[in-house]
Order: sequence, then C-alpha cells, then structure tokens
Amino acid sequence: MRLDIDMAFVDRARSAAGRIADGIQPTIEAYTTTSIERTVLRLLGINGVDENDVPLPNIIVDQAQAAGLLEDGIAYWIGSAMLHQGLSLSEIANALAREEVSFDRIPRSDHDTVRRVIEHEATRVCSYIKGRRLQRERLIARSNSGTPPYLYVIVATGNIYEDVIQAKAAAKCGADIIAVIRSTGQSLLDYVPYGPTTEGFGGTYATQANFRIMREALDAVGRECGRYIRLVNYCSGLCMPEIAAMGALERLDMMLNDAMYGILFRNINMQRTFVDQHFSRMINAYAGVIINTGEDNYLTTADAYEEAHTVLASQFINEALARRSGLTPWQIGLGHAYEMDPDMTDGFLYELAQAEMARIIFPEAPLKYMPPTKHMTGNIFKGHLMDAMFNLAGVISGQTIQLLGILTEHVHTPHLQDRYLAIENAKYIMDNARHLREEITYKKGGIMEKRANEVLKEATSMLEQVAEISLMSAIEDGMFASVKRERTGGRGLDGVIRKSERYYNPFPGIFMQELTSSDFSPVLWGNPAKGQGRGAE
Amino acid sequence: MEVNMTRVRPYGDTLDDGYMQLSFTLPVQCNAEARKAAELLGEKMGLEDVKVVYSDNIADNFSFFVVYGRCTHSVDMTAIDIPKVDADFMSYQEINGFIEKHIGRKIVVVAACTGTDAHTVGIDAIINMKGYRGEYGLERYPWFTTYNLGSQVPNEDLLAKAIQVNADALLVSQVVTQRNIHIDNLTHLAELVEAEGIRDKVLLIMGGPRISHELAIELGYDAGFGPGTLPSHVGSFIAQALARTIRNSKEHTKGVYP
Amino acid sequence: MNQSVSSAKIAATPSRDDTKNPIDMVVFSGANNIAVVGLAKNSGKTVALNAIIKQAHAVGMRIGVASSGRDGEKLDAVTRLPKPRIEVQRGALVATAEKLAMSASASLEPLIKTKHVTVLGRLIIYRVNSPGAIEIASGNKASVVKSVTELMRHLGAELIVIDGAAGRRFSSAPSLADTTILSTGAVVAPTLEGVVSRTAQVVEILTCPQWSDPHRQRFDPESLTNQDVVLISSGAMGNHVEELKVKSVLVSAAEIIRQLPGPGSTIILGGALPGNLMRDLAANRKARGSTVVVGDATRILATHRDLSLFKSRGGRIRVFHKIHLQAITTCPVAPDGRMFDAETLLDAVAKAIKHIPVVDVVAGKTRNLPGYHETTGDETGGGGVA
Repeated sequence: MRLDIDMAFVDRARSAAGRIADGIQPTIEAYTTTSIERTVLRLLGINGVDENDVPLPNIIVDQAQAAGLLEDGIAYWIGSAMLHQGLSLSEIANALAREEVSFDRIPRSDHDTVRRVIEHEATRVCSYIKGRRLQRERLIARSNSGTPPYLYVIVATGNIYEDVIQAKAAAKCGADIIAVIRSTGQSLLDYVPYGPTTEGFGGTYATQANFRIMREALDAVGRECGRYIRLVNYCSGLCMPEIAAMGALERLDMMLNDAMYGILFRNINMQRTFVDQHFSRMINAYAGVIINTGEDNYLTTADAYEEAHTVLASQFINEALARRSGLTPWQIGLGHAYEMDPDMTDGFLYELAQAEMARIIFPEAPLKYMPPTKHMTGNIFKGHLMDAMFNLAGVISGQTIQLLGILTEHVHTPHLQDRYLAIENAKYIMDNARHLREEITYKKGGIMEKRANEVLKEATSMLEQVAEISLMSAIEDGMFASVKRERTGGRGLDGVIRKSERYYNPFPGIFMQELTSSDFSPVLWGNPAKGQGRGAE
Repeated sequence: MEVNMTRVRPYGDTLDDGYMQLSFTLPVQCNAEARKAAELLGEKMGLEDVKVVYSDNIADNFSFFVVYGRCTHSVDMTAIDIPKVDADFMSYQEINGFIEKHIGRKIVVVAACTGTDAHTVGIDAIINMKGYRGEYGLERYPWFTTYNLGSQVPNEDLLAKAIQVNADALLVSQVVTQRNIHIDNLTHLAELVEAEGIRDKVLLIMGGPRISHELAIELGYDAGFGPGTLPSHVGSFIAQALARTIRNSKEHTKGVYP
Repeated sequence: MNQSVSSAKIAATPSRDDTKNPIDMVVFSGANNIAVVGLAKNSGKTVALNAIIKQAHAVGMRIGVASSGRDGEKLDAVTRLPKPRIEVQRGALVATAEKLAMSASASLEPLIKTKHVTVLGRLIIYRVNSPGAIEIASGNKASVVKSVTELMRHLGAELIVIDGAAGRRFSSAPSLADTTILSTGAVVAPTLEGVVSRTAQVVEILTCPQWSDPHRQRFDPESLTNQDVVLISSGAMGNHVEELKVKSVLVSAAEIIRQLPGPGSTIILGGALPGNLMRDLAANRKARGSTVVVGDATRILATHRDLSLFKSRGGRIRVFHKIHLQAITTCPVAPDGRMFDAETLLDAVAKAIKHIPVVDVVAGKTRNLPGYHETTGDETGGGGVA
C-alpha cells in the first residue's frame, strides 16, 4: 500500500456511515415529493408546457396535490383518470391542463387495472432508457478511452448554441468530459424550464432540449476525434429527480448529485432532499450515470486544512446512501478538492496525502478531484501555477476525474483561450509525470502518512457521533459546514407528502429489479473493464 | 526616478517605456495573415513596436496570441476622483461607543445574498462573528443586532425579514455580475422598498467584488462597498448615516427650510 | 398575450413616419412633471431628457431638472464608457448635490439649501446663469425627489423633468410625475425579439388600467400604507368589506389568502405587489378571478411571468392612479457595441405597442403618432394624448 492507512478506522467509518444511511431510510420510504411525482409524469412521456410556459407535470401534480390525492401517487390517479375518461396518457394530460377534466370528479379505479395500464407505459420508457445505456456502452467500446485522470472542463455561456462551440473546441483540445454549468438559481426553481435556451446567468438552463443539443454535438465531435466525450449536468435542487429522468432519456454520462449540498448550501428542506435524492440516484443508476458528489463545497466556506475530515465524512455518507439507491461503486464519483491556502508551508504534501487517502479508501470510485477556487485571486499567473500543482497531485495520486482549474477563476466564466490553457497545462503535466505514481513510495511515519491518518481518525469520530444522534439531528446541530438547518425549515417542505398504503409508483420496482440483478454492471470507461474507477493497486 | 503624475505610463524596465503584454484569441485560422491582424490590432489599441511573440491554433478557426507593445497613451492621475463612501472609519470600540452615544439603542441589520446569488463569502466576512482579516464581524458588536439570511434569498424574503425586525439597514451582497444580473436584482429590491413606502426608514447598502460606491449612488442606494471592505467600514457608515438621519429629522422640526 | 397589445384595436391603420416628435410635443401637452424612466441603464434616458430640455428652452419655458439617480457623469459607473452629458440653458433650475455642482461647466447660482443631505452632500436648488454641462443627483428616494421638485415649482419652474435612475421606475409614480416617457434599447436583450417582448412587458405593467369599481370612492389611496390590506367580496348578501392590518404583504401573504372569502374577490394592497403573492394567488382556487388593486403601477414588482400566471387563472390587476405613458424612445446601440438597425428596432417596438408613440430621438423618426389613428376611446389603451 502506498500510504500506510489504518484500515481498522476505515472499517469503523464505513460501518458508521451505513448506520447513518439506515437511519434516514424510513423517512425516505415513508414519503414522496411533488418533484418525484412530476418525474413519474415525465417518465411517462408528459413533458410539454402550457401557454404560460408552465410545464404540464407541474400543472397536473399541483392539481392532484390541491385535491389531496398525491399520497396515492400521481401514477395511480392519472391511470384512474385515463380509465374513467377513456383517453390516452397524452390526451388526459392535456385535458387536465386545460381544466376540461378535474381530479375532483375522477372516481377511484381498480388498483390492478390501473397498474396494468401504467406498467405497460412504464416498461416501455424503461427499456428506452436501458437502450440509451447500451448505446453508450457500444460507443465506448468503439472508441479510445485514454488514461485517467480524465480531463473535465466546464462551459457556461448561457446560450446552448454558444456552449456547443466552446464544448467542441475543448473536446478537440483534449477534454474528455464536458460539464454545462447551469444558470445560477435554477436549483431553486420548482419547475424545469422548457426548450432550447439562449439566455442564462453564469450558465445555461438545464432543459431536456439543451441536453439533447449538447449530446448530439458531443457525439459528433467524438466521432471526429475517435473518442467518447462525456456530458455532465446538475441533478440537484428542487427538481432533482426530474432532471435525473431528463439525463437518463438524453444519455448524459455524469450528473452532479450530492446528498447534502442542497440542504446546506441552498437551504432546501432536508426531508425533501433525502427523499428526492434516493429516487434520483435510482434513475441515475439504471441509466448508467456516474454521480459526482460535491464535497469541494465544504472547503469553500471553511479552512481546507482544518475541515479536511468533513470532506471524508461526507464521502462515506454519500457512498452509503448511493449504494442503497442501487448505484454500483464505480458509479459513485466522490468529490474532493485542492483548496489549501497556497501560503501554507508543505501545503502540497497535505493535499497529496489527502488525495492518496481518498484513492485508497474508495478504490473503485471514479474520484472527482476539484481545483483551487477559494484562493484564486485574479493573479492569473500564480493561479496557473496553482492549477499546475493541482494537476501534479491528481496524476500522482491516480484520480479518475480531474476538473481542470482555470486561470481566470474568480474573473469570469472561462473564455475559449482560458480553457485551452487549462487543458494544455494538464496535458503537459500529466504526460510528463505519467508513471511517476508507480515510481514513488511515501516515507513511513512521514508528514503525509501522519496527515492522512489524522484526517481519517477525525472523520471516523465525526461519523460515529453523527450515527449516534442521526443525520438529521447532526445537520440541525450544524455539524456539517457549520450550517444549521431545521428539519422542517428550508425550501420545498410543502412538496413532501406522506405516502398512503395505496401509494403507487411503477418505477422503483422496475429499476431495482435490474439494479439488484447480479449481472448489472454498466460499462463506464471502456477497457480495461475491471477496476472501473482507477482500481486499487 | 521622478514619475510625472499627470502623464503616467506603463513601466517595463525603463521609466515611460510603455511596455504592456496582451493575450487574446481571434476567431480565424492561425497563419501569417492572422499574426499580422494581431499586430495591427495592437497598433489600433495605441501600441507601438508591436511584437506577436506567440501564436497557435487553439480550435478550428480560432487562434491565440501573446503580444507585447509599447503603449503610447498616458493618464493624468491628478484628475482622478473616485466617489467613496462618506464616513470616518472608526474602530470596533469607537463604533460601539458612537452608537451608544448618538443612537442609544441597538442598530438592526439584515443581510443576504439576494436573487440567484449563492456566494456568501463576502457577506459572511462582514456579518458573521468570525469576521475577516482579524476583524470581528458585526454580529460580534454589542450595539448591532444582525440577521444573515444566507444565499439565494429572494428580495421579497429579505424585505419581509427587514419589516419583521424593524431593520435600520439592509445589506445586499452580489457576486455574480454576468450580463448585469446584479443590477436587475438590486434595482428590483430598491423598487420594492420604495413601493412598500419604507425607503425613508432603511439604509440600503450593497457590496461585492464588482460593486462600487458609484453604482450604489446610481441605483439609489446609500452606499456601495467593493473588495477589501472590512466589517468596521460598514459598521462606521451605518452608525454615522443613521445618526445623521436622526439629527436631520430633529433639525426638520426646528424648521430649517421654507 | 400582452393585454395592452390585444386591446389596441385602434392601430389597424399603419402609422406614418413623421418628423413631428412626441418628445417635442410633450412640452405643449400641459404636463407639469415628466418622468423619464428606462428599462435598464444605457437605454437612452439622458438623450430623451436633453431633447426635452432643449425644446423647453426653444419655446421659452422655464424648466426644472431633477434626477432620481445620478446623471450626466462623464463615464458610466459600470462600463466606463462615455455617456451623454446633461446640457442646461440659462434660466433653468436644477436640483443637485453641492459636490456635483462644483464640477459643472454651467455657471450656477444657489437659490435654496434644502434640508436633504444625500450620499453626495446637501441638495441645493440652483439657477443656471450660463449654459453648460452639469451632473445631477436629486436624492435617491421618492420622498426627497418629491420635496425638491415641489421646491423648484415654488421657485418658478413651469415644466419639471425627472430623470430616472438606471432601470428604476419609481419616479414615474403619479405622485411624482403626471407624464412618463419610457426609454428602451439594444441594451435590454441580445436579440431584437427580446428587446421588443421585454419592452412590451414593461409597458403592459406601466399602463395597468385604473380600478373603476364603485367602491373606489370609499378609499383614499394616499392614506393606505403597506400595513393596509382590504378584502372585498360580493355575494348574494351584498358586498362585504374586510379591512386587515398586517405587517406587510411580504410578511403576511399566507394570512391574507386565508382570510380571502372566495373566488372573485377584490384585494386592495397599500404597499407593493410582490411576485410571490401572484404565485400564491395563482395556486389557490379561492383566489380564482380575483382583482388586486394597488396605488399605482410602480407598486407592481412581480415578474411578467408571475403576473401572467395570475391572469391566466382569471386574475386582474388594477391601480388607483394610472400612469400616463406619453412616449417610448428607442436606442439601437448597446454599450458593448451591439447594434440594431435603428429603423428596424423602431418599427418592431411600434408594431408591438401600437397605442403609444415610439420615437428614435437621435434619428428623429417617430411611429404611432396620435392623430393618424382612429381613436376608439379604448380605456385601457392609454393613448390619451389624441
């Protein structure tokens, strides 16, 4: 082993994380949310908007909620309405949206009849999503997958067509993964905007049409370069599961999805978030999507050296929750970041120690390493050097996904040349030091080994404390990121509904059947297929 | 070395040599014509002796340049007048003493990153206990009561809180400035305050890395704080502005103007 | 659909281009206080302001100039690009801060020191003794602007123009100005369609129709504050009027909706009309077909999207005091260098907003000039100068 890490603590931490995840599972199972119900409608193919640009899933779910019917699941009631009115799914959706049909006047239909009708539609869409996953696997098999760390860059012009130009240019320069940054504030919208969009703020709206446009563009440039270019978007905020569904339908490859980010940094209600993320991750798992967790955020508000253990603790929790949603270990892209104060003596050693530690503790995970942002100042020259050190740490510690730092961080969203310089920087360093990882060992009992074990011990004790009092209480006490959130506070609680005994949603059953089968093993990176992440040595 | 403050020019290695470096991208294929174009562009920008020291294709039909040249322009620094927040900056102790003496009650401040903005670093530095660069945040001041509502707060919610707690000052942080979204946000808040009829009761203050006092004035705010602002700067301004308002309303009763 | 557009039946006949300029005509319209407001910064307010000042001088009318923001500075506070200066003529009155007056190229004589101390120093009313450029800032709140314009009136100003601050529109409130000019331009959106639709949205809000219910007489809108909410329901047993005292509609939206008697009610708000109230009312069956009444259109601070949502559920918005929108000005150039064809922009805006004259001040071109239309007396249209 490269760094001698006390595996007994790793086991203790992982078991505490398991208890934490089990602790909130009853809440997850007892509730549904308006966004989950809207997702059900979207998966059933209802995704248009009315003349005020209000999405049909919102209109219909709001009507059902006002009528007090959501506890049975929208699938049951839309099925009942179809049977009662003798209309198809899209016909009944339009009739409800135009208020020609009202839920008030729909009688309960026989459960088994409803199930038969809905199950038929649900199976159809699931096989479509599975087809998208298999299509990805075929494309990957045909292309050159390169070697990790895979270069991940962002585009953020606000205009999807401009994003396409930037993304294609980046792919040609050598980027493997393109993330389209979302318009700031979309996470707080309780609906998903519709159609191609050309005006966003600090990013581009996540819409199904925009997903499709970028997917087609990346497939095209991938064919030209003989590589498979991966597409990333955000699966977070008040519409988390709806966006997961859109990503599944449009073959996105990765989605940013963190178990606690929305609660802590967007003040979204914790019950809403936990319930939503479970269903979202099931969709992600089924679609063969790699989730990216957002542990870097813990360090943007707190000191990266002092709070390093909160990153590790969150990684364990994200892993435990993700596993319970059916994600395979190689779909869990746990996040961490290079954020220490550049003025700190031996800062690089500490960063490298922590990066190696994450690699050892999560051997199969496609770890996502995030660049310096907090200490980027506008001095682009020093910033470019900091990014270089970050790239060196990434290649030495064998990260899977390297989110490239951009020298103009804190100045503007990246210009074409900024991204070019970032990719040039990464390619130079990673090629120049390609096999350094295999040549070096760390000093026994040295600074780095001490540091890694110290962080691990702190994280373990934090996790055990959280397991003791439950995750929701820990968040209420401000144990994560020093942010306190109330169980019944924050946005979106009014969209959390306790399920009735009759509750019906056809999708979890279909998904879990596939996810728990022994041959479920989505191909994510191509050969070598074993060691989907980077693989332990 | 005597710098002429009325004719300040860039410095390379000799006074007034005017050396500057630029890098930029042109949306064309990189070739001899493109390099010439980069050079001519430098000349049009007022550079002499323009040298394109590096050029490369960075994408299909995009070329990148690094250019050096000597700037022919100069600026008169003696004519620069930047509006600054009008306050005598005081220390932690002085501010608390000032409030006790001139206001006689705690000052209530409500702060937030409004609209879609999610960057709380600035507002946290000013408000939160911990403060910034060794200075306490306003939360720590015994004569301030503060409410930090965090990020992505709708203007309506910020104002609702301000009304509930009878705030004396609203502190708004805006970091995202792409496509001037901050201006729309700040404008909407000021209009909302006016429409509620409480503009006379609160100080409106903005802050952020791209915020200037000039912008604050233009949008009808009372102050704008840019990068490098410390909690005591904001505290001094609020205390003094509030004291002035109180003094003015007293003056008014004495009948100063027709 | 845009309500003011759909109701503008008057515009069936194409309007002729004419050299007659509504900005010039405004001077003779009998207006006392003209507010020049814009959709955004750099949308052309100062150009319109200068045109009014020039015309007033040409006809020998004594003008008073105020700004609810800060105007006439050399460089833009955001873009650092040069801005048009404000040129004043001999005899004009201006209300500005002492500090700004010192750097004016016009020669100024102080008439009255006001009690208002702003962030730029004390406000003073000056008389212009020799023409030149000047920077104007006359207070950043309605109460102060109102007070200084009243002083200028007192000192003999026959026509007062109030320049707006950036995209702020509070100065167009009927309590401050009896006439409004709205500036729009390329800066508003990247595309022509975007400029036109946003302009139409703002016009729709600004020209919100008057509340003409018989109950109107019962209320003195000036005495209502943000703590006053009145609910009126008409039922089989006659009308029921319920006066509520709240902290503010921002705090008490849920409470107001709870008290709502049922569909078709009227809700009078003494303060602002915020977006969240629109969304809450739209989502509530009890609020179907309700009418929300506010003091004037500057109190409407919901987005067009939220308002449309409310209206699509049968809701209506009305005001006690209607804003008289005299003209719209278009500016084809944005500070980032983007440019539309001047005439194309002018035509596009004029076509979307048929009931209001539209003018490109710099090009000297006008559309929708009154007098060329068959006026049908449409109440909601707002083309009232005919």
